[in-house]
Amino acid sequence: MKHIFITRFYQWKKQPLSLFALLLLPIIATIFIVHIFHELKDDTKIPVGIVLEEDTSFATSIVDALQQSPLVRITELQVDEALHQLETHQLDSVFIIKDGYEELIHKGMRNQLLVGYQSNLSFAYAPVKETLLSIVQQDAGRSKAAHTVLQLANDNGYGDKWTWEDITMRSKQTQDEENLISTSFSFDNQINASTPSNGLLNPWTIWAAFSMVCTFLIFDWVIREKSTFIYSRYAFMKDSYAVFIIKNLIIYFLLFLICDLATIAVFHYSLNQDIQFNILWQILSFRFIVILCACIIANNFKKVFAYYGFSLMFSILCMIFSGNYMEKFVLQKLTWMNHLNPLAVFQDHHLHYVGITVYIVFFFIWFTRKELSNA
Amino acid sequence: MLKVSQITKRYRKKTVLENIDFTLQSGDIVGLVGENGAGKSTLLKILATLEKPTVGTVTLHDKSYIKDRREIRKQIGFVPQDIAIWEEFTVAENMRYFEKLSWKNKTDTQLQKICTDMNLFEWNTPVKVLSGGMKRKLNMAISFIHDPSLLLLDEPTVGIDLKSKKEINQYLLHQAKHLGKMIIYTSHDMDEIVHLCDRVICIGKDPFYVELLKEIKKEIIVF
Repeated sequence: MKHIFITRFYQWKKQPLSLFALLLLPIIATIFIVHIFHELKDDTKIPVGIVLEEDTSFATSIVDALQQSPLVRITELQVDEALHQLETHQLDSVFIIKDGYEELIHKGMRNQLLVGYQSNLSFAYAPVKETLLSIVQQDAGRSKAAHTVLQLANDNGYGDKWTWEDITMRSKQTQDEENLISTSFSFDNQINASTPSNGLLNPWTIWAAFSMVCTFLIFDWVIREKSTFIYSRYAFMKDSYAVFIIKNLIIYFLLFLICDLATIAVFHYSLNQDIQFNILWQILSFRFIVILCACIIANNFKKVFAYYGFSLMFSILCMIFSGNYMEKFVLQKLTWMNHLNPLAVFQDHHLHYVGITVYIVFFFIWFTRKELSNA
Repeated sequence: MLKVSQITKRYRKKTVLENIDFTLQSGDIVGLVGENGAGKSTLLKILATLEKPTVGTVTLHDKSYIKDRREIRKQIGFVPQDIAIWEEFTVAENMRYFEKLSWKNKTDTQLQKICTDMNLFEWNTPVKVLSGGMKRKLNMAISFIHDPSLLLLDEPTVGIDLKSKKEINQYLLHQAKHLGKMIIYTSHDMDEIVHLCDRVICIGKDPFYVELLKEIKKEIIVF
């Protein structure tokens, strides 16, 4: 094995830049696309200015709630600057949370708590105002409920056990914990496993697509070894051509695996992706299948550029059939295709035995044919 | 000893070689001549284990080409007609690369000696800047890394200058006469054949070659 590694190292030494570029491209391209998407997403949000005249938890919670909205970009400013930006149409609208907001909520007041400004070009003023009103109503309701609880406590001899702040804080905490809007419901105690999103802009989906194309491009070495006259020498070497290819596949598998593990770390730090155990299985299945697939395809080509063209088309088809562009019901009828599609295998979130077995069988057929022709 | 017994090669109904029968002893150099398409390369491929004869047997040092193919291949140094080297490597890298894949381990000094014996001194020069003659020498040197006892050369000096041709011939003579290697050599250059070979095998019975070979004072076998 060591001697094969040395020969491969000689080849890598001759084209280090292209090898490194193709190994790093999936990581760089993914980070770039994800950042560009977030930048574009921010640019398409409506700019709204918020002026906080007090920094109580009630006041800041309004800003936090607005920031959750996918349609508005909240900027905290001073009054003068906010109004100037509104006049110059840099902001769509401005809302001022007046000093004493929490105190007025505490007192049960619902009017004159906020001041809103709009210009002749504002179009998000009304929906943002409605959102703010609903938050104020919610705060006022929470305050009233807290007063009621305190009243009940006084009536029953627990007068100094809780304060208004304790009750409102606990109420907010409970609301966050319950998170009724996005709770997963289950039926008959069946576990509804939550899996990471496979959406088009999932960093791992983007990475897998780029990684597949780059793996194919790196595997042009199979054609270079096969199509040159050097192929005639393998009959007189220690390892037959088929064994030589298998040993090289092991080396490439380890090389890619190192890069893939580095990718997990890079995505964790740069894209805040969780390091989950099942991503390892996903990557192992995907990498194994992509390498075998690239090797089998490359062995059927004599011209490098024909191989590049085919592998690019194949990768695009795999992307289309991976489930991101096609309706699920179409793919459900093509389950056999999913076993052969490395990108579909990657999105399965576990070790894909069927896909691996199918590719091992394909590879074994190729290997046996080669060995028989060499015997 | 290489013993070729009554071999015939047919591709479907076309007979390319018929009843080829000869023996090679240690130190023999045999030239293979014949018109294009006569079957020289086919015979060389059979002797190199790359093709199987339709009829007949071949043995090398009493080992069968059918049963002991792997062992036989260790004894064969096949020099293909096309230059089979890595153009982007240096001479040294090419030698080291193929040494790693070869049956025998050799040191850099030993590898360099194979090249210098052929008057190939450009050890650290990239192959792409070498002359055609130098590339041919490297092509040959790579095939001899594992010290084979039977050297099969398919037109090894085609398209190269006289000086390189002479150096290659000197090297082959040394390999046969001093180291006892058996050499089978195809060429269209009669002068080269006359100078180098002990015997000449003419394939194809082409009257032109048969007449030409009558003038040579060497042992001639015509098939």
